[in-house]
Amino acid sequence: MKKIEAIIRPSKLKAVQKGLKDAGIPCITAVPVKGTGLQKTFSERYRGTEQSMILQTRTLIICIVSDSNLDVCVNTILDHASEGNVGDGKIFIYHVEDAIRISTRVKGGEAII
Amino acid sequence: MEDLTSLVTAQNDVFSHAIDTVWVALCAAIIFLMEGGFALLEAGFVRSKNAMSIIAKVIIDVIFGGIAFYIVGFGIAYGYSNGWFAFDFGITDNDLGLGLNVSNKLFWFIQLGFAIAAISIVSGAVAERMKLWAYALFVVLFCAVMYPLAANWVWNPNGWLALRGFNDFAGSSAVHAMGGFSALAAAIVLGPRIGKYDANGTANPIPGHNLPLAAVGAFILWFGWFGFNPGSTLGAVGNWELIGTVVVNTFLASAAGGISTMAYTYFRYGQIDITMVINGILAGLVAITAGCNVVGPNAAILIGAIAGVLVDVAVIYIDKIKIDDPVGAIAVHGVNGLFGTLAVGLFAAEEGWFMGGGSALFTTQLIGVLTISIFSFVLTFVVMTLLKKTIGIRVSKREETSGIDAVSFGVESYTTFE
Repeated sequence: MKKIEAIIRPSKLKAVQKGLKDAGIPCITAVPVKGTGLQKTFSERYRGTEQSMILQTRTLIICIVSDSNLDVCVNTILDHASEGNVGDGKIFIYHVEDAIRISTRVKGGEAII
Repeated sequence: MEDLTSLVTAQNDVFSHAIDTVWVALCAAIIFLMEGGFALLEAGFVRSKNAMSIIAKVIIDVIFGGIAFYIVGFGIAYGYSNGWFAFDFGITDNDLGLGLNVSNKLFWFIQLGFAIAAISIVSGAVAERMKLWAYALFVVLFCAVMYPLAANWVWNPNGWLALRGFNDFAGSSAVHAMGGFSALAAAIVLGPRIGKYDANGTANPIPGHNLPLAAVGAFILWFGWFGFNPGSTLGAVGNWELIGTVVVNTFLASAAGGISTMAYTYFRYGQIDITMVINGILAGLVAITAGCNVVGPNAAILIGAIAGVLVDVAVIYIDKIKIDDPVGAIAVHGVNGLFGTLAVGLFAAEEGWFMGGGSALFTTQLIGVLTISIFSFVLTFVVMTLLKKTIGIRVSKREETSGIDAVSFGVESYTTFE
């Protein structure tokens, strides 16, 4: 069981969600986040004064998938989240100990897709 | 004795000027607040990444449109007209032939509210994708020439529609159909937002980011209408019955519009759609604007109720034919401006076709509203196409996907962690 965290452009969320659903992975969690990667610092002007260290708006999506679904999930995100530019985001993969569905208390692989 | 009579007459004259001035100034200020309503309504109905850009557009409506309406707009609308147009600079001191009991300058200010309301209708339809400077240029043209021409025909004492007995009390045609059909042409030339339609043509909803904000905007517009319609009496002295009729009709139509939208969405979708109810209330207001001085209360309720259904049907239809109107401006103002103008011909208490007054008024209403709608549509289409071919009217793809606020203005509406 793996946890995939992908930081993507907010404008790509719809496409990624649809792609994952079509690939048989309908369960995702999405969180609006702010952050910065390696891209050059982005600045805003607020009432005439430059503001540095501005964090970019991105969307963090979290998917928990079985090991066999890992590649499909990662590839789908790569296919749909990319503009080919700096700032497209990153994907992180973690190992997951266990999962429990709250309503039925089912554990492990059956609790996720 | 004679001295006393003339003294009293003179005093009455002073008082009637003062009372009318207070009334018109009050209504004009209320109308001006409608811009705040437009700003909030439109900001709430767009995505958060473009919220400031739409507020910028409404500000441009007021500041660019206002100056343009001052320099030539007012002269074109209310100067000495040959029936089709007039020309004059600034605010003339001449008698406008309207029997005004207030200063021409105050009359200019209340008319300014109508002009910028008309252009603000367009700002909603071009939301989230139109370039700011191209829009500003269009605003100047609209408020300097396009809207004033329609106002000239309808409200100038020598306007060709005014002379035919066209009844558009507060502007279902001159303001709302004018703005609504301009919005239609602008939305067509501009094209839909990225992601609105899939490659196979299915429409995707792009929900607004703050519906309570949109609702507050609608309430402010609603409030503003009680300056817009009764203020069109242009004087309180001697008009108390008329003002009463106008406010009651205005309210009844808006409430009926809300009820009918509520019922329509409930029976059609199994749920009440509050965002559509907001549009339904506004549709009722738009539709009663032309006839609020001549219809009875029952007719006002009927007009509002029909408007509330029309707006639902129109929103779905406009979506289906791939015209992207983020806030429903075309359905609310265009469709119901047209309907409201025609409704006068059907329901006017004395001259209405359904009220036994024959078809004469209806024919006049039909000619008037069709002329204004087609004029507005065609001229906007031509101007927008010219702008598109020259300076460009659409923001870059990067601005559209990342948000106009961050890319063009360097601000975000909801930004910090603190």
